[in-house]
Parts: sequence; C-alpha cells; structure tokens
Amino acid sequence: MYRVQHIFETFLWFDRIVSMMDESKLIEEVIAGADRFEELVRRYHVGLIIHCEGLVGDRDAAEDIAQEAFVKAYFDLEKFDPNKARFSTWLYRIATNKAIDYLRQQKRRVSVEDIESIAEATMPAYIEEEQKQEIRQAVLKLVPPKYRQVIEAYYWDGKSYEQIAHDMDIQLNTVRTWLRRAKLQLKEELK
Amino acid sequence: MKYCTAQLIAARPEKSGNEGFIARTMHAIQTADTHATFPVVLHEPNIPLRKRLYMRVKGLPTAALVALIIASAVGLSGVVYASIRFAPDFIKILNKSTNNRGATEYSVPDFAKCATDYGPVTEKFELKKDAPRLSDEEIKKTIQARCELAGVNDFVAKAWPTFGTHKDWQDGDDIFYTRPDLLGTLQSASADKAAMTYYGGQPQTKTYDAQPGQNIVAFAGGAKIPISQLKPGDTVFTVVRVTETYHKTWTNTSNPNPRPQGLVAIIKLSLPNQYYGTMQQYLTELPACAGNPGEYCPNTPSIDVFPRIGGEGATNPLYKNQPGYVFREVTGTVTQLDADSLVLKSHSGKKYTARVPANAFTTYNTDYAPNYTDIDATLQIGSTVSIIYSQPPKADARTITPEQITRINLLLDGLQPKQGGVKQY
Repeated sequence: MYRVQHIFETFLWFDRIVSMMDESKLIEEVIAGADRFEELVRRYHVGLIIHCEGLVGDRDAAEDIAQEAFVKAYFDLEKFDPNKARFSTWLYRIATNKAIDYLRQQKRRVSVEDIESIAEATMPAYIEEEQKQEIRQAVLKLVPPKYRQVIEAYYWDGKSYEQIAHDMDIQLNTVRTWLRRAKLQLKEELK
Repeated sequence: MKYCTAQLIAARPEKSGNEGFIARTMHAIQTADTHATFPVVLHEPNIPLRKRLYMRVKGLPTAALVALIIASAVGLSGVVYASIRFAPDFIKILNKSTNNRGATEYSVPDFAKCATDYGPVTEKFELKKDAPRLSDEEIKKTIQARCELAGVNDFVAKAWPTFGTHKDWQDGDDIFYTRPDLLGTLQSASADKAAMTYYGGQPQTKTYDAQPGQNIVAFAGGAKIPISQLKPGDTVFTVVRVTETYHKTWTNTSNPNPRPQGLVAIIKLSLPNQYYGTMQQYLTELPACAGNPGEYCPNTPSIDVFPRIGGEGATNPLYKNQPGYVFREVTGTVTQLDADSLVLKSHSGKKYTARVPANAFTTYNTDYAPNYTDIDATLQIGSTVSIIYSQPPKADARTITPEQITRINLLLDGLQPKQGGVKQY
C-alpha cells in the first residue's frame, strides 16, 4: 500500500514538474517573439481579478489593476526567473504591488503588512487534475442549480457580481448570498 | 472558505473565462507596445525581438524616429479621447439624504462609468458643513466637472504616457514627459501659441508657445477639433511637455527643476470655470471603507489621535500584525468617550468600540490638541473619527482592541476654527 501511494505521489510530482516546464517553455517562446502571451492571460485572468477585487474591494478597479499587471508582466518578462518563483506567484506579486499603489492613492494611509497578508492568503495553489474533476463534479451537484450558475459565472467565467445580477435578473445581494451558500455546500461536499 | 476559493479558481475549465477582459488586455499590450518603444529606443540597445515596432523602425535616423513616435502618440490620442464622451447633463443624482453626521449626502453613478454609461455601482459625496447652500443643479454640475477632470487626466495619461525610470539612464540625462497643467479661461489660440487666464490667487493672463516645430492640437466633446473652433472665454485644460534632469538618487541639491518645452494640447471643458475650481472645495468624496464595503469613509485631512507619541505618524507599539488578518477602516461620529475607549456610530448606523491604553485619549486632549491653535482639535462626543485596524477575515467584531488598531484619526472636516492666531504644528 505504501508503495502504491509512493508511486502515485511520484506521478503527481512528475505531473507538476511537467506543467511548470510547459509554462517555462511558453514564457521562453513569448520572450523570443511568439504571440502566445494570450495563453497566460487566459490561464490566470479570472483568479487574478478575484485576487485584486479582494484587495481593493472594487470590481472595476480590480479589472484595471489585473490588466495593468498583465501588461507589466509582458514587458518585464525577461526579468522573470522561473528558477526563483512560479509565473503565477510573480504575476500576483506585480498585481499586489499595483493594488497597494491604488489603495495608497485612494486612502490616506495603507498598512503594507496587512495587504501582504491578504495576498498570501489568496495566492493560487497547484492542484491535481483528479482534484479539479472532483471539484467540477461537486459544482455540478449543487442544489438548487442556480447555485451552480453563480459559481460558474463568478469563478469560471470571470463575471462581476453586477453582471451576474443583470444576467440572472436578481438583486446584487442575492448574488452574494447564493455564492456564500454555494460555497458552504461545496465545502461540505469536498471535506 | 478562502481555500475553497483557491480550489474553485484552480478547477476552472480551460474553455471558460472572461473573453472581454482578455481582448481588452491584449489590446492594451499591443497599444502599450507602441508607446513603450520610445524610452527603450533612446536608452537600451539590446532590444528583445518582441519589441516589433522597434525592429521595424530601428534603421531610421533619430530625428525621424522621434517624429514617428510623436505622430503615433498624437494619432492615438484622438482615438482614446473619442471614446470618452462628456455631456453636461450626463451625471444624475441617484439619491440625496442627510447622513448621521448631519451633512447632505449625494449618490451618483460610479465615476468609472460616468464617461460611458451608467452602472449600478455608485459614488457618494457629502456637502461640507461650512459650504454655502447649493442647488441640486449646482451639485450635479460640480460632480460632473470632477468626473470630467478625472476623464481628462486618464486621457492625457494614456495619450502621452509619462516615462518611468530606466536602468540605463545616467545621472544628468535630460528626460521629458507630458502632463495636464493649467485650468483656465482661454483668451486666444492658434496653432503656435495660446493665451489664457488662470486663477491661482490673483487672475493672471499668460501666453504659451507650442513646442518647437509642433502644432498645438485641440479637443472638445470627445473629439479632436480644429484649433480655430476654440473661442475666447472657453474653459480649458492645457497639456504641456516638460523636460527635467534625471538624478538616480534624490538629494537636496538635485532638484529636478522641470522646464516647460511648450504647449502640446488644449482640451475644452464642458462647464464654466467655477465648477472645476472653487465649487470643488465644497464637496467631500465618500469612498467605501477599506475592508468594510458597507461603510463609507470620507477623504478629508485628519489629525492622529492614537498612537500619539511625540509628533504625528507614530506607530502603535501594541499593534500585532497577524498573518491572514484583513485590513479594515471605519469612520463615524463619537457617541461615547472615556479615557481609554470610545464608541463611534458609523455611516450605516453600526456602533464600533475602540479600546486604547489607559488615558490615551485624555493625554491627547491635554498634551496635543491645544497645540492646534487655529482649530478646536479636542476629541469629544460629536467628533468625526476614523479607525484603521486589522481583524481575522471572517470576524466582524465591532470591539477593536489596542493590538488591532493601526491608527485612530480625528477628521478635520467640520471642526470649528478658533479665534486668534494661526500656528502650524
């Protein structure tokens, strides 16, 4: 049993390394002139917008900050060292710094330490394909189905609360309530 | 719940996503590519291949290259501004009420949308207590003017990006940038010069020349217009090009001393001058409080009440930065005050209790408040106070301990001026 578990873990570790190598290769190609940066935007934009929204508490500003972070990442890509950090960590760091700048402009004072602790708590983690499938299945099972709709719209389609409220013809607060209840259900399901 | 969020994001199917955001981001990268080339060309010989524009133009002599970049920036500026449409009746007051500070409060559509269309998100403004009586129409125009200035600033930043520092820039290099400059009333304008009156203290009229070899361009109503369409008496905002000397390290002797190079553009505004100037001082913006989205925190100057060790800007020695804690802010009126605690009633009507070390408030009132000789800076019942603190993300505790407080400030807006001399402290 130990051996099976060990082989499984080795496989997962290998899978993770392959995934990182794919990303490093993609970044090298972008630096060399390939028009493939959009793949990185596609991969990370939804999480990055939600991350920024959590930091600045405003959706429009969050989208602007996420966009600026992608633009900066594109132009500074040669400075990125894949041996020191994952691309996502680097990208989130750029966005976090921009969010801090934004908050400083908006407010009189900002405690950088506090903001950094939020950033750490919302940094994306690598999860295996099998686990992704499990989560997708759990989302499909959400009852009532409107819970599934709001989860998919917010976390997968990258829509704002306002957009979801408009699309589903419901109040903004209802979106928040359904999302909260859906996540509680998911938490139970995925225990 | 945060782990749940991270899992959901990680499990996002590949085909899902926000196509509009992706398209906008890729467009921003392509547009920025054109602008970003300029400082790189000037200072960095080892250009990566992906700087496509540079590769196309690198054979050109420097003068032609500069002309090309300026032409592309001016060309783009028309496009960017054309997407910003301003109309005097664009802003609507969605709600008007009296808040718990006794001030009249106005809700208007989110500024991010005031230049395009309305959205459900709102901005809030408060009429200052010492402001004259203003009609709703005047308030509407004043807020419209603020929105318009924000749009103009955004336009200028995009059309003529300010260059940042570059690793190859040397001490003493001349660098230049383009910025919005003066707000005033136009007296005359032609392609090579413009005269305008501005109102910093006594009104002054001055004539400004175009950059050498360049024509001044004009914008109005969201479009580039012939400069002959500008008329004396128009309220305008000027855009100028400035040169300054670059210093890697700031010292007292390295004053950058910006030198104007000439007028780049004149933007005609839609309302009379006073709405962009004097009327603006009567309104205070009420943004949502950081970490407390249901509350509003006015953007006004303030005085440190706690911590107050020596001067302002002290750090609370009791504050403990806990990993994962969320930064929050709340503002409200003091309803109860003791030597070591206060209760404030927030904008939403909730009560928050802040506890501080023994006699902290008494010490502030006896040792520090009297030093402000021009205003009555005493902390008392009825004062408006903001508290900045941190808490665990899920907590909504309204009793804030000394270890959680970053700062407690007394807001100056609404304080009564003292009679007598003014002493800066």
